[in-house]
Amino acid sequence: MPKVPTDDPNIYEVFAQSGQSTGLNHVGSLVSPRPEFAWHLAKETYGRRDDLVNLWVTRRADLIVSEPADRGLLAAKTRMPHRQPGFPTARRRDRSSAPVASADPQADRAVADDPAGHRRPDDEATTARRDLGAARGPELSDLWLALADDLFVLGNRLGAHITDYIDLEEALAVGSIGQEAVAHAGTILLLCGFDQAAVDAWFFDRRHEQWQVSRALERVLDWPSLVAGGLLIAAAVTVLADETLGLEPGAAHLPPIAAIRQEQQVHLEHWRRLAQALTTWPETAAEFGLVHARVTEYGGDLFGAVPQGIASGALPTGPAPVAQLHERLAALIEQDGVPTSRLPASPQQRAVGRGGSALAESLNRGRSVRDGYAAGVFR
Amino acid sequence: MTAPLTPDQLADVVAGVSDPEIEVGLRDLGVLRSVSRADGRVQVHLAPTRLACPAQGEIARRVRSALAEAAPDEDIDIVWERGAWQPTAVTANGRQALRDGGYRVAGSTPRCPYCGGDDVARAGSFGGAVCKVPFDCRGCGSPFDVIGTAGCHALLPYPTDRPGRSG
Repeated sequence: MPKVPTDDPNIYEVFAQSGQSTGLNHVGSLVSPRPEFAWHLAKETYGRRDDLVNLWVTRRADLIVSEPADRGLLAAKTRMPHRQPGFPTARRRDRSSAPVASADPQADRAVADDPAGHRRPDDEATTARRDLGAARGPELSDLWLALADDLFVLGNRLGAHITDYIDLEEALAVGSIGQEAVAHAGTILLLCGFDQAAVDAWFFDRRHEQWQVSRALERVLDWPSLVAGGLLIAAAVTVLADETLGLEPGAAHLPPIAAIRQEQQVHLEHWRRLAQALTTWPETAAEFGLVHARVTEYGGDLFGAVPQGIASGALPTGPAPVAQLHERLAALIEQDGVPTSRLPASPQQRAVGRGGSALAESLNRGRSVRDGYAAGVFR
Repeated sequence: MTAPLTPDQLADVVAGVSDPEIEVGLRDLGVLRSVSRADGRVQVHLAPTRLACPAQGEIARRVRSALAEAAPDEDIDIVWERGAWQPTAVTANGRQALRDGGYRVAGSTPRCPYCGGDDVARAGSFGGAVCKVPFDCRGCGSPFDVIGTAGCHALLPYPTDRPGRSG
């Protein structure tokens, strides 16, 4: 830490300016028993050969100086290394010397191993219907609508975090994933037969009590929660998209659902890599372990949508095989290098009208932005 | 009194509308799917490159204003066909225009649009826009973007990818 370098009152530091074009420079130090002699001694010692313009003398005991260990404190603070000159060149050099970034064996393997939609044999379908018991089980569209709530909240939370990254790549990823999560939420509603105005009303005018956000997202305000929550939601959307795609090959809902699935798979891979990294680093392992346990424990309600009596639109009708979807989700979120998930053995029902601080924050931000604009900017 | 424009003529008008971000026509970019008439209304079918494409509003506005000028009396509906866009829908003209702008289209071996070299490496999964995947050319050092579905590994043959999965 910076400190007063000495308590000896007889040591003086001398600063001299030898011409108008130069600045005042530190030229040396001297020892003088009395302050009024110090200036004259300095003039004789340091101003003997050259004309001086300025001569300042001060007690060393009156200074506060840095130490060699203060390099860190003295470094210029910037949160944006990509704005520094030389950043692109340095990055290109680092990239070129590193193994090819695109040869991401994990991503390739995940895609290669991915079955082209879990097509469900018919006998399994009937088992699933029997498992549901009561005829009041949620339909596929109910599950999609509930996941749309999750995607909307997740996208908003990611949007709120977008400025916090030192790493440009991570900022781009979070921006893209957040943007796409919100777009997917809207696309799901359009598939359910909403028009654009109804989509906006659903997200921005619906009362807090009508939302069904998963408990897993209740507290996605910090970064580890976003990683764990993002992973879980991306996995759930992938599972539900696979199910939907397998039901009616060739149906009109296929291209949007296929696009959602494809885009969410990229998100899933991204969150997986981050979850692995957070588990590996000793600084984050303990915190991420706790958060991951909480988020997965609460994630049991992802397929536990409460039916809302909304027409299924272009989506297939019929009760959803909730238990099976839940099992597939549990299998999909297990991975090496990440703590074992605490997903409950059977699906839980969603709580209506909760959503925690994550939902409240998302709604407040969205509404305040919309209120601030002139009528007609948002339809 | 002139005869109303045929759907083909209207489609040519829409084809002349350019993308808000890159100087390329909507037909060349594969975004314009079709123009038809239904119940006396003109229906323009467009496909966004990504579900989250933020330019959808601006594209719709440009299409409407171009059609309002060419055919002032028509009622226009814009139908977004989400998820319908494919890299293969980009025309040869479109590919050339994108190359001139420093872009490549997914679905073929990625080559640097500046030097033509194929010693390129993917620089990440997410680019500056949701439809772009960043690449670096190791030959000339230029960064460039590949336009296409970022997540579509099957359509983006990376240099180290196994052969036979592209297309």
